[in-house]
Amino acid sequence: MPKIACLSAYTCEDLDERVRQHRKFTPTLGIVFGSPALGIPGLAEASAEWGFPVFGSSTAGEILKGESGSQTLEQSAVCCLTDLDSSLFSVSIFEKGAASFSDFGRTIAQWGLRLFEAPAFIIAISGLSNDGEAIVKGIQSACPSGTPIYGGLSGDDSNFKETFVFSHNGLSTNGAVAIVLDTRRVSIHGIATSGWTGVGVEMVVTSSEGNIVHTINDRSAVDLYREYLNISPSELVQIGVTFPLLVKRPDGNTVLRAVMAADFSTGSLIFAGSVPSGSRVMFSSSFGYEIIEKSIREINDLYHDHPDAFLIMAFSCIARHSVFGDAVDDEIKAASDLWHAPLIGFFTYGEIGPGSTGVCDFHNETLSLVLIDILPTRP
Amino acid sequence: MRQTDLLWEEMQALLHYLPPADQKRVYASFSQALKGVTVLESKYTRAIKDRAAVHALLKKTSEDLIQRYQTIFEYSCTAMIVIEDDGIISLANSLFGNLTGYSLSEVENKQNFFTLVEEDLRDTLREYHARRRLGDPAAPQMYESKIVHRSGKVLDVAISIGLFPGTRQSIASITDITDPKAAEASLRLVNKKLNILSSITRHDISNQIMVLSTYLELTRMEITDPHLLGYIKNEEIAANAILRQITFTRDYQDIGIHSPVWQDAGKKIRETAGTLDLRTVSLTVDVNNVEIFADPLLERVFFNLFENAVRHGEKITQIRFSSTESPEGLFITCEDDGAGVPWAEKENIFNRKYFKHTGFGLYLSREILGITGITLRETGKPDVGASFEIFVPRGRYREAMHQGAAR
Repeated sequence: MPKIACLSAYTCEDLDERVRQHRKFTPTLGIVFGSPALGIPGLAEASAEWGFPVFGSSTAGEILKGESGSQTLEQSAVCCLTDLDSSLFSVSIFEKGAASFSDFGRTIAQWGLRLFEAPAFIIAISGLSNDGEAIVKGIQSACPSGTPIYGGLSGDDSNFKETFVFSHNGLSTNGAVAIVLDTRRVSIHGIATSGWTGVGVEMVVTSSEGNIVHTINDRSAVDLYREYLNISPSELVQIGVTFPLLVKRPDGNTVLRAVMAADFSTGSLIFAGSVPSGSRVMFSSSFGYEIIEKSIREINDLYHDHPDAFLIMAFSCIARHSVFGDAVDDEIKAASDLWHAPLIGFFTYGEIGPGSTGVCDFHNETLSLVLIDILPTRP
Repeated sequence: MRQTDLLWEEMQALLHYLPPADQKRVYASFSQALKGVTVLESKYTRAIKDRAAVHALLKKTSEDLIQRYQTIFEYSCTAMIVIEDDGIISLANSLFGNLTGYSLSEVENKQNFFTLVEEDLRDTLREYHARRRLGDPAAPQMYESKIVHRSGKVLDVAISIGLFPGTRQSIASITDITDPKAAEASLRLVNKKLNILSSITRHDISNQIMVLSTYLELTRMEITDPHLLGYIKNEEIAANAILRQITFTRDYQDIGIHSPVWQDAGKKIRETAGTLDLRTVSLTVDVNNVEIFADPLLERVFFNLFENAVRHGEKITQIRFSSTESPEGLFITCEDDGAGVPWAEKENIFNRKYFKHTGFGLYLSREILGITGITLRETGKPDVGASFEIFVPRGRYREAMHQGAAR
């Protein structure tokens, strides 16, 4: 079983020093999630010197449950070092540039497929105007059906100004960092659990392009959000993320889409995923601790089906942290306690994990939990 | 200035008395603590803003819902009112004003609903109102009644009424059926007159045919000329045909006159069989506990099936009725082991002018069943036996024993 060390620090320098002083085993992979307040460029620069691949992202809060320490942190950096067999995985950073969201997803998929016949992806995506759903669909379009894809959109402490992903090879504010794993030898399982509830009457998206919604019920999306939530323009994105649109898809399934940015000059809102024109939507909100209880029940069910994991990763929506405060610790702790495994993650602006049909999808207001385990070697 | 800033100023004053190394340590710890407090402050502010936004969202969406239901209430094509526990109308739509001749300001929170009901029916409606509030599931939800217009004109109305869940307020939808009721009454009267007329005419024609038949019989006894006897025979055939057609008009006239009713199919089959001489034909009825919604002449359908089997079955020894349920509905089958129906004649036997004089009965049977959407067809094999399949769509049959809901 691979060895794991979990570290956390409140400064970039402190984390760098602690990683360099780590002597218990020789790491082959570092997973680093940090608050932009610590200076992500500095953290990326430091991690490039560590001598092993790094999967890194800026956050809206950090999650770490190792042998000691609390579950959720703020304005800190958390790190997980492991000596996982290097032939089982690879890490790479991708710059989106001018590529379409789908093409960008396909680029990531093609990289993974070149390395492994049956890949699984864990990705973090930076950039506040990126369409997480279209990127996930792009990956899926190039991969065998059922390819596991987990991860989240990077955060920036709820400032909604600039997010980062980084690796040992660099930093991007409009790209993605990905770990690809060989599912022939590594098992990847997980859940995505939400609990947000639709509120009020249905409305119709009357004009949109991809993840940019111009009008709802023929009214400016900005004006509509401001009126319904009674908020000032400066608060729109910060507060709006807690009140995503519940989008009814043509197949009857529903999906939550959170606001990521606003264009006040056009009155448009940019969502974390696609909201097609003509979609029937409702505001949604969360009501009470039963949402945490529900996620704990689902985590228990997952444990029942998959009781082994050497590492757990959690991508939890920032809205869960804002709404439930320290109660989100309960779901993180439930997972860590059940598997007796280290857990690392961060609070995100969007989550990737299995939907109700079991196929991986892009979500908001969700906890996406990923179990990683080594499969027994076949004789 | 915030409490933490004040505290920090006081701390700085105190730090001067400490050695530089201790000052640095205290400064670092305090900075970390202050950072934590700042995070907590921002979370607290955020929580308050989130809470305010939740309230705003709930308020606005509640207003939306109220507006939506008010629109439905107003634009419903029936008069609608909300009736309080004491009978006072607390809310009414414009159509209710039009229906009763009162303005909404005269009605809302002032008018007692029962005072608008025709005097003879008031107590009945009050009783329904009370039973509904006691949770009596048998309290009628849809019924006809009469209300009095401001002008004194009595209106026939259809009322659909129920309680708002968890309240003692009723919501009633009232439709003016005065004109359809008057038209229905006129139709019934005209129909009755036509029936009387055709009944008298039929009676007279039958009498005249009887006279004609008698004279033909007497004539036959008087003559021996085979040529003339042939004429008489043809005249008798024509007279019988007229009699048969007259009988058909009698039977057909009764179809659809009375409203369809729920009838125990197995019981009706057995009762009909009891009125017939089935001779040596054995009967099995495997149709149990099922009621079908059909014209009261349903018995005639079974009579025709029995008669058809016995008269045309030739080698027939048994008749069996059975029923099976499918996702689409209920099949009641009447099978015999007689001569069966040739492939080419399976539809023709339902034609009233066709096939060995069977047409009238089977044609009438289809008409009787068709009143409530039930179909009849023949699905047997020639030389093996006839098989008549009655298909009852869902909603038109139910369990007989417990008067259950229609399936």
